[in-house]
Amino acid sequence: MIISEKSIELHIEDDILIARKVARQEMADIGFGSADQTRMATAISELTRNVIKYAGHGVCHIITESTPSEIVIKVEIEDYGPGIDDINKAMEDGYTTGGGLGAGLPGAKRLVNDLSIESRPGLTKINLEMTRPNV
Amino acid sequence: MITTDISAKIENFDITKDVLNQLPCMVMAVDRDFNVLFLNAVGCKWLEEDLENLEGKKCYDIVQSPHCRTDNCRVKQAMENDRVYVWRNKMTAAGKTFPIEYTAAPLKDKEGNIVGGLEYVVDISERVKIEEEVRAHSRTIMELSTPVIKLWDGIVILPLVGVIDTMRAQQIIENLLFSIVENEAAVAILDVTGVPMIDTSVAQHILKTVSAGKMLGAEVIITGFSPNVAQTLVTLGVNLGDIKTSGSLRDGVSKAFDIIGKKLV
Ligand SMILES: Nc1ncnc2c1ncn2[C@@H]1O[C@H](COP(=O)(O)OP(=O)(O)O)[C@@H](O)[C@H]1O
Ligand SMILES: [Mg+2]
Repeated sequence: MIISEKSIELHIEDDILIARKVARQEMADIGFGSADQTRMATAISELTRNVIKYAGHGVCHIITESTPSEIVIKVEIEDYGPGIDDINKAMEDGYTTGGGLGAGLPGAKRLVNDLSIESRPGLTKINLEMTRPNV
Repeated sequence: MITTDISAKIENFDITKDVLNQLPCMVMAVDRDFNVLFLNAVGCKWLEEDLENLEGKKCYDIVQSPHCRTDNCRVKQAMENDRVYVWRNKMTAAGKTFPIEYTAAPLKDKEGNIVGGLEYVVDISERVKIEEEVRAHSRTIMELSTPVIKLWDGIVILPLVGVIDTMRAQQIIENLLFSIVENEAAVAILDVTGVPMIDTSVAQHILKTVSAGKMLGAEVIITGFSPNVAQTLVTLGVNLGDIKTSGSLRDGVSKAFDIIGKKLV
């Protein structure tokens, strides 16, 4: 099993681009196709932008695993901001407190299928995961 | 075997020590209280220290970084969470400060108990220099890629290349709207063929551009959505509504000529 882990600190908008780029690269390295790369990179873009917009700063961990049968990417995005008040509401299409489109969270969930959120004041953690057969 | 006695350690190492000492990066091991257990030759050189003099010294006494003595210290996190971390940082050693990448891992005894942490540190001055050059270069491309071209009387076109961030999106809108007014354009084409990815915040800027264009009396046509980008936008649930889109720039241009009443031959 090959495992790689990269962490990107999120402070400024450029860091969003770095996180996206690293994810694409890591995914390409273990054999994810370009459509999956775009889906994951877009989801990461949404969530890391939320970190910078709503929490100020945070961290994005990108972990990839490759076994003979599967390739996996796990992304953990963490911030130490105010937390998401009402997760159910935030997951609704069109809900925004920041003048956005309100499509980031629900859209990211549809893009990667596997998304979980844990949030309280001081710590918000979002996990994304994508698994494909290793062909 | 892991012991916390430096002199015993030195005797136990032979090949391993030779290898570690010849590695062109700094390798350091500390116990749970950050007392230095080992520092390889490169580390000694960087820090201008002798291994024998390190007895009783803490890592943060001989090397300084913004992470030192904070919860951000990856060696501390590696010990606490039993995980490996790779991180970029700055390091000050013997009066010199330079960019580094450090990998931190828990240090374990034979039974697998975490007895400290280890790290290896790579000087990335060269890499950072190259990255800065690349960044400066891509900034130039970005600036070059925002001018609006007047294609025909009444038609302006703005080809976008590369990654769009929100700042650049803002600049793009302004350029396009300004040129609509300046050229009294009836149609503006925004070509996104060169854009690998569009998220909701960039999509929002595109939507704003289209409605601002309308207010100025111009139709804005978006061309060149790649299949991946189009599919992603649909999945995100971004409603492009009544925005005119065309698969290729060529189709978009002919649509534009239709609008101003000229057939493209
Ligand atoms: N990391 C976060 N910390 C605090 N609040 C957040 C965070 N991420 C999202 N939110 C909240 O969830 C809402 C919905 O987010 P999202 O779906 O990305 O839409 P948008 O960013 O367009 O508002 C945001 O408006 C904000 O109130
Ligand atoms: Mg958002």
